[in-house]
Amino acid sequence: MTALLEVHDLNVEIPLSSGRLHAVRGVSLSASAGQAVGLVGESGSGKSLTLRAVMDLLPVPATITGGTIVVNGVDVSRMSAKQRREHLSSAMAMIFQDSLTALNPTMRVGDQVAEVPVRRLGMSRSSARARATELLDQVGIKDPERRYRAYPHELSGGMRQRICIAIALSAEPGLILADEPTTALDVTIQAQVLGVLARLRRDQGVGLVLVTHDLAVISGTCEHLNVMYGGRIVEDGPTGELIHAPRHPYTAALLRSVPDPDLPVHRLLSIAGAPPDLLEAIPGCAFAPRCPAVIDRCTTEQPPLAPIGRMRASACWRAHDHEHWPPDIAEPAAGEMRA
Amino acid sequence: MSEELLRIDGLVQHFGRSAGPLDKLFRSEHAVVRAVDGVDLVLHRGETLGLVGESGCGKSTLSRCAAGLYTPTKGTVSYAGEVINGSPSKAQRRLVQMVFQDPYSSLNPRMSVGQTLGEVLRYHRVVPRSEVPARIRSLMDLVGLPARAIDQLPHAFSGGQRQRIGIARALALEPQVLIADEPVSALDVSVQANIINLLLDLKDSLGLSMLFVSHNMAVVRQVSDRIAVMHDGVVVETGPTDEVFSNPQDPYTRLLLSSVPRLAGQTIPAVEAGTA
Amino acid sequence: MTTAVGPVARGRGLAARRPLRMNATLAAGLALLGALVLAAVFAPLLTSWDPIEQDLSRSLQDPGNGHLLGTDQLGRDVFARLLYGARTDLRVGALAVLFPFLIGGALGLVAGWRGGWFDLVLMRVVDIVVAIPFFVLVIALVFALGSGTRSIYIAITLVGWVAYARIVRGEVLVAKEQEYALAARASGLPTYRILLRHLLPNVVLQAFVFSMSDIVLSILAIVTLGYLGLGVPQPTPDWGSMIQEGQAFIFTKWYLAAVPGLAVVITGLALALIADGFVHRSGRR
Repeated sequence: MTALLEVHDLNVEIPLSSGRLHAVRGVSLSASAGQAVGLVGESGSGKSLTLRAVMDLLPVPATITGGTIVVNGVDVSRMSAKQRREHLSSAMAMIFQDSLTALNPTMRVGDQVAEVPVRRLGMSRSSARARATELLDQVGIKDPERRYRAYPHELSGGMRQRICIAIALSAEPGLILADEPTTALDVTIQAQVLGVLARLRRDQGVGLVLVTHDLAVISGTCEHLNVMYGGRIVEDGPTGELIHAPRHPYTAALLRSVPDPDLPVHRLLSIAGAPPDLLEAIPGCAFAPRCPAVIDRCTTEQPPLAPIGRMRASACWRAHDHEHWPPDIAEPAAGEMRA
Repeated sequence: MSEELLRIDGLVQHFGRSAGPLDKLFRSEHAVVRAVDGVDLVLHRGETLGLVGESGCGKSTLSRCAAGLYTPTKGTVSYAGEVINGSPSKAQRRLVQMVFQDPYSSLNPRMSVGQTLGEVLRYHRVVPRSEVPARIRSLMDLVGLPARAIDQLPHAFSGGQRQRIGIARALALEPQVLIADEPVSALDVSVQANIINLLLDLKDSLGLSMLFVSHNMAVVRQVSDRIAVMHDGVVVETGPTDEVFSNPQDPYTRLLLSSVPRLAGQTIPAVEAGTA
Repeated sequence: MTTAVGPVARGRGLAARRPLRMNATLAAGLALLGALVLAAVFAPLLTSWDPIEQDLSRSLQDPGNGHLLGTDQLGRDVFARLLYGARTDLRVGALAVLFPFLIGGALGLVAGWRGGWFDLVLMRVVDIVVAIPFFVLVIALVFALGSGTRSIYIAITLVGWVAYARIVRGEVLVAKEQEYALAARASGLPTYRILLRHLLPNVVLQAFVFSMSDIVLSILAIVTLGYLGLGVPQPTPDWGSMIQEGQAFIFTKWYLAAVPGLAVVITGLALALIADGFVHRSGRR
């Protein structure tokens, strides 16, 4: 399986009046068709900017200051803006958190789904219409012929997000990039939308890159996880292993701070301190000031994202030494809670 | 059962302008939203009642009625046995206080922390004027903020710190009941845990009772003694937290519980049910 | 019992990222307006000519010969009339905005907060006033009240308050549902306190920004009224009557109308810069 998307050493900076905010600091990741990759982190970790940089949709004034983005084997950073847009949009499509602003309020939703087939794939109007109806059906919209004629404001949030997924699918992309696609939705609707994404992946082999702050959502959807902190990936690996045996103290702490609906605990673990100031250079590990397992080396030397075992990597000097981490973070959270 | 501090009887809250003279003249139709449509609820001394439901179910409206911010269309809200009906007296205000959802909009952007707390302390004469600065410092200490932050404006704080200020403001009046409306849903996961732990600590040390409103089943499970599940403006199920979670009676509660994403390397059970 | 929290207001962190209290736009606007005000206040020091003294033997002189900008058809010094005219126009402009601002703002604040019949009646009155063209109404009022600066104030106030009432009411409708306003209510604070300390400072900006452009409109209204003979009575110098009188000589002595016109434009520019500067400073758009 060749990778559809390969990001190598990506850097994104935002110039501000008070300095340059180095928001993404050397992120590498890859995704293939049929595979679901998760990017999880808290606000300010750089996860959304990474995704937007990949799709060439960075908000002004953020700019890519380093690294390569290879899509379908072609390095897009060398292309002209027009070429890049064409190349990116033929291979990937994006869905956003706010489905209301992501849709054109003055256009029937069906026509919005049919737009790409007509304009870019050169379908006739009637066949594009049939295709759009079929896509609406695929994303689980009941009575698609009738819903075709609805305007966005006439639909619920969950319905609108399904429309957004249908629009994303209409370009027949190999990969869907999803930025917090269910964060604005209720849990019952969230479960349905995640179900749609999972089914598309299974039946049509569409790849997924999912960005979210919600570990539980990502753990149920993606087989591979990347945990971001302070603009870097601090740990990556297969979802199950990463959740049951985290090898970075931040991952461990984050897991322990997520409340489990099935098991009340005496108190949740909280992470003391605040995330790093990304306006400044960080000499060592960005998590060091908040890390219970910190050693001297952590504050002076930045740990590289180094492989540990098969398919896993952790950017921690004490990744191999996890049995000796302080007890409040060392124990695998989910394992203990599930026991 | 112990003392009832907060009681809601047959509460109905409809929104939409009440028909004015012009509307009667033109016989216009009114789009009335039945946000809360007949709810009975009781909060006893020392307990935490979790109120859960999805967006639009009326839980926020209900909590604002309970805090005396809206005058109910029908039904009553009582504090410690006395009916307040939308306009609590100064003394009743002090009994029940509220923590709001959005730490970015719940603080006046033009008032420093000290001004925000001092205003409330002075107006209600919680302590003599001369002791206000000392009380502000002790409130800051209570919620874990450094005293040097007193003169800062809200924008200088992170979301979690702002929520601490909001909690300090509620506690300034030494209430017996705290109504927390989605107090952590605007915060990052690790900060959420901080604020939840703070609320639980304060509840124990100050002997508070709490109405904890949230859409997040997992969070509600961690904090509540009893829970009430709301759907479409009515409470569909109430009971001790463990019982409701382990043996939900109402079909809606069951759907809600099965939809909650779980931390695990396996798929969510409700997925296929939702898309079939 | 509580966990440690992060540092408050890091030196170069979030606090440093907020907009500066003074910015270039605001500074430029204030400097420009300050210069105009100083010129008006110190007019007697900047010119030795009397703005109303006529000398028909020296009418319509070109600039030079002791008259910096020449003389008008009655032999009055144009530069002196320009400086003294600034006194009239800036004062009338500011006062003609101050009263509508205060009255309209207060009514809008109460209407937005209370709603109900008060709001209903007030907004219908606003609709009626807005439905009649501004100048038609002002001219009719000045005509009825008799010409003179006092009539101009009253007429502009009677018409101008509606804009402020609308702006402030709209802002209050949004702000009163903000959680800080709810929080103030939940704290049991009295209504006057919530209105004046919590809502007013947060809703006044839009009205203030509008008032800056409104001052220019008032000055233009005075110019227009002067043109119709309903403005500031002669011989008090003001830019409006200067433009009107200079217009007769537009092909030979173009600067007679152009210079006071330029003064109006510069005043407008200064006020627009101040308004932009304030919006920028508050971090709103």
